[in-house]
Amino acid sequence: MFDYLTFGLLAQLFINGILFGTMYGLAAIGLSLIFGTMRIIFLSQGAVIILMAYCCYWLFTLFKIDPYLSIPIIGLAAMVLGAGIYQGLFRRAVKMEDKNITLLIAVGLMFLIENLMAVMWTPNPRSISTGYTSSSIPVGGLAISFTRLMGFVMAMLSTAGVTLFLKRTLVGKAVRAASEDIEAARLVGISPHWVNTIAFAIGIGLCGIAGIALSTTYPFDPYFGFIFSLKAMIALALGGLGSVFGALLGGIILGTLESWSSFFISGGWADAVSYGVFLLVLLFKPEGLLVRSVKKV
Amino acid sequence: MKSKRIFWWFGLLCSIPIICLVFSNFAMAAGKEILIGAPVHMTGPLAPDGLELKWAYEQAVADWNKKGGIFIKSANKKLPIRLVFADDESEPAKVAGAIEKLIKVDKVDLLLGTHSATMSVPAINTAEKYQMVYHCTTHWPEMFRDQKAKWASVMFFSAVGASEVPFIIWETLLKKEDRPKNVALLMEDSPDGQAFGGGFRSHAKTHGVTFAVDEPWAIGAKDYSSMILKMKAKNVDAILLYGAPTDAITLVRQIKEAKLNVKYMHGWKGTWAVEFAQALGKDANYVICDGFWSEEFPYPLCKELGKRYTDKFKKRSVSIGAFYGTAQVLFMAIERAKSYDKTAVRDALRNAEYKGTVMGDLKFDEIGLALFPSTANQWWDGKQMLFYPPVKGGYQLKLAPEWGKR
Amino acid sequence: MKNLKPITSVVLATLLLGLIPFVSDSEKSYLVYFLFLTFCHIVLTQGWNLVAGYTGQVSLGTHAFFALGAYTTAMIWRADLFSWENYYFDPVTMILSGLVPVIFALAIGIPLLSKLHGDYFALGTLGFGEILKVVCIKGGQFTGGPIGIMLPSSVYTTMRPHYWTALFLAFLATGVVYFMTKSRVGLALVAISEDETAASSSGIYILKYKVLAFAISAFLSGLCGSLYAYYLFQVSPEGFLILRWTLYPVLMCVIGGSGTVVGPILGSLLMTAVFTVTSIYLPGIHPIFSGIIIILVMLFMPNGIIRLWKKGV
Repeated sequence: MFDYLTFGLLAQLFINGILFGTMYGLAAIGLSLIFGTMRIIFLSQGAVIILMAYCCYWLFTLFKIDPYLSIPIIGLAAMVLGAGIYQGLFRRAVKMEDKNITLLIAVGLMFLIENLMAVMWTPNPRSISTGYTSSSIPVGGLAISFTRLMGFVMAMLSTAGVTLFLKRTLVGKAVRAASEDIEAARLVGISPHWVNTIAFAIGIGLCGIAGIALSTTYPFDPYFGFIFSLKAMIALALGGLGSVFGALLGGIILGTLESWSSFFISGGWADAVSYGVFLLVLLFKPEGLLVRSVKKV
Repeated sequence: MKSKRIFWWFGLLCSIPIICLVFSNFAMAAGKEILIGAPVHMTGPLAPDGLELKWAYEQAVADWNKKGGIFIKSANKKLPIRLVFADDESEPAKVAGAIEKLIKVDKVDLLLGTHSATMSVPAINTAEKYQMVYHCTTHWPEMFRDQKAKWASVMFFSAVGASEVPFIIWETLLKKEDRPKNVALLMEDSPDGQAFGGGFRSHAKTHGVTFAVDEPWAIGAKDYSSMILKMKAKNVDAILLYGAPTDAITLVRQIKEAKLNVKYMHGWKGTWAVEFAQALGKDANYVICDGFWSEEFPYPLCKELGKRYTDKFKKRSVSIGAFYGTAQVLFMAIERAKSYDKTAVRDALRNAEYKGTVMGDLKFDEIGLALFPSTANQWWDGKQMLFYPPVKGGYQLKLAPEWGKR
Repeated sequence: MKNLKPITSVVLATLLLGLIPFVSDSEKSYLVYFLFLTFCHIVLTQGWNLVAGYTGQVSLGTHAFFALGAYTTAMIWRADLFSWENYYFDPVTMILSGLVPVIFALAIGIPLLSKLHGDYFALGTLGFGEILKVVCIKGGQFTGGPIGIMLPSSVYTTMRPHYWTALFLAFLATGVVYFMTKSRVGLALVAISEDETAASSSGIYILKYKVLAFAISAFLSGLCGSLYAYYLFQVSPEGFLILRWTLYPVLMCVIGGSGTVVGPILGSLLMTAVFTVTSIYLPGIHPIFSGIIIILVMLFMPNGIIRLWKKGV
């Protein structure tokens, strides 16, 4: 049945899976900060990514700014937006015991962003077409998509940057402390609002990066992002909470899983396989695949 | 006590919409105009199609009203047509709500249909409940027959008929040595994709073609590299695909990235949008798209409609004529019945022939079904060039060379 | 006396609402459809309320059970399971459509609830819904694939049975929530949501109660799904297995006031009205308004409308 399998094919499949999973991973690292510190099921993540993709599109179309050069602009704008979203929408709700409220604000925000985009920029699909769109780099008989490779590089750099930030800077340490134990963090005098604002700013900033990676690789329309919200959530659960690198790796695992199952089973079942694995992980190793089991009381 | 007042405010707040809903029943002007309702997708993922549909219906109404409307015997004069829309939000459950609203709140006389088979099934079911004429396009005849609707009518092509097009093209337009040998079939997991897939498989059998790859295509999946690898491993030289525009663009991009050379790529739904060509630029060349209609059709109004569309949206369309034609046929039926009474209009849409529409001559059978042929166009420098059915002196199909040699 | 007053008023309101189809022509008045939709939302919302409002477990799987109910109805009808003449509003079919989701709720509820808390339970139920969606799309002949199962719409005569059944189900759902909360089970549920550790140490067998609430919620959603299948006459993944059927109940419940009996009713009424009116008067841009309303309500009355009133009494 699989007589056409060769080593090269398998290697290509492997690489494709990793590059594809990076897209999920990029979305997941942003989420890991937001979900990690505030436990918000932030379903509007995907919509924000698409919003950033549109920003990238407009910068490219109107001002001829290359998508990769727009990283600083979009990253910064996204961070400001993130801080704004937190201060404007989630500041009060995060304190509350009831998690439904943050979930619903996220849903409301998703409705709002998706449909604002549809009204302002029409629901027709958009895409960025540059010289390097759909070009690939041949490496020893394998073809590696350029835009996806760039996405991979961006994801790696972002992960490294965020990890360094969390480990080396005082603010970062505070964010990390808060994501591990918010009560204890409060006791040692960390202001939760400050930490949350930072976490949100970085989280949404990473959405900006994900938006750029997405807009160079895919055509998109206002409703394109929802699947990324879900998949990022899964990637996060696979990788384990509170670890940025885990989130990226979770995304890559998810991507590889989908890629392999759509090759060996069939395209339509890839989603079922990834959700099935997700459920199994939730049941048997809810702290994530990559976290060494620590029993929490 | 203050908080109790808030409760009363809330009560008031709730009652206003309810009162609105109750009283809107009386807001109607009978006998002065012909009120036609249409559910369309204004929001949600199908909105791009919905907005085109809306535009086409509006064009048809404006054209008829310019002539003074339609002569109605009971009023003994020409009455103008008025269109009301309701948003179906691209969801089957909401299309039912939209039709309930059109019938009960707006009190429409007749209904024009929304777009896509997913929506048409519940839409027809709901319209049937109120014995309301529902005249639509883009609904599969096979499914329509199963529904046994008494009030609905459809003008479209059958998936079975449309899916024979590539086989006919290969046999009539290509030299023997050029005909594809390893064909891949990629069908979206949707009612439309399934209907087409079934058609392709049955025609492949009669035309002696076997599919080297036959993959369902999950809607909104973001990675097709596995599928492409499979096609590459099996030396696929032709692809028949059915999917959404974003998915189709992604697929072609990834095909190019993977350097898979396919000389014949024929897509349905996803490849016809102008966004497809814009997103891919030169890479869209050689890709074939289907169409309901073409402005190159030798029928009245086609050129003009195409021009109007291009003026408004700055692009060409291969579908707008079917939407315009749907409204046009409904108005012709009213004109023929000299009445907008729903029974009369329904009867006028059964066992009847309508000549000179933008879709050519249409013949409705006893269940209210009229078929028109599906077209095939090839993208060439940002334009869909009609090549099937062949028009005299028209565009000739080109086979795609390898990626490196373009 | 004090305990009887709310019951009598609810029963009276139900009877009064039951008379509406006699006053207003169900085939001509949008009001009947609007109330039908509201009642459906009340059923789903009360079901979600029971799990989330009372046990504190956020379920995002309402649409899965709703769809399971609808699919059960459609399959029984299509397969002509009992070789009866009529499956339209057949009580046995409807009850079975409630029980099938219960089986699934038990199958996934026991492992999920025994292991997962809070957010993870939400994600787990969401995952269940997504798997079910893929299975229904890929189910071939059995589930009808992406087209789903078409039911003969010719049996439809009026909207009255839909209206009354929906009203009855809404009444039933409210009654179930009311009696659950007044009984020992309800006390246990509230104790769980307030402090799980304390509840378990005072001898409440937490898992049993959580699963019970989850199963009842699935039963109500399944019944509602069956009713909606009778309304739409087509059960398809795109019509039933969409996240809206989960998000709406969550929204309506929280806006009305979760963890109360009356809150979900108010929430359903208000939000159905908001959605309907915006969709009629602001076509094309209404989801923006819905989004803004959701955010505003959550920001300024996060505990629900009902508590605005209760606080003062």
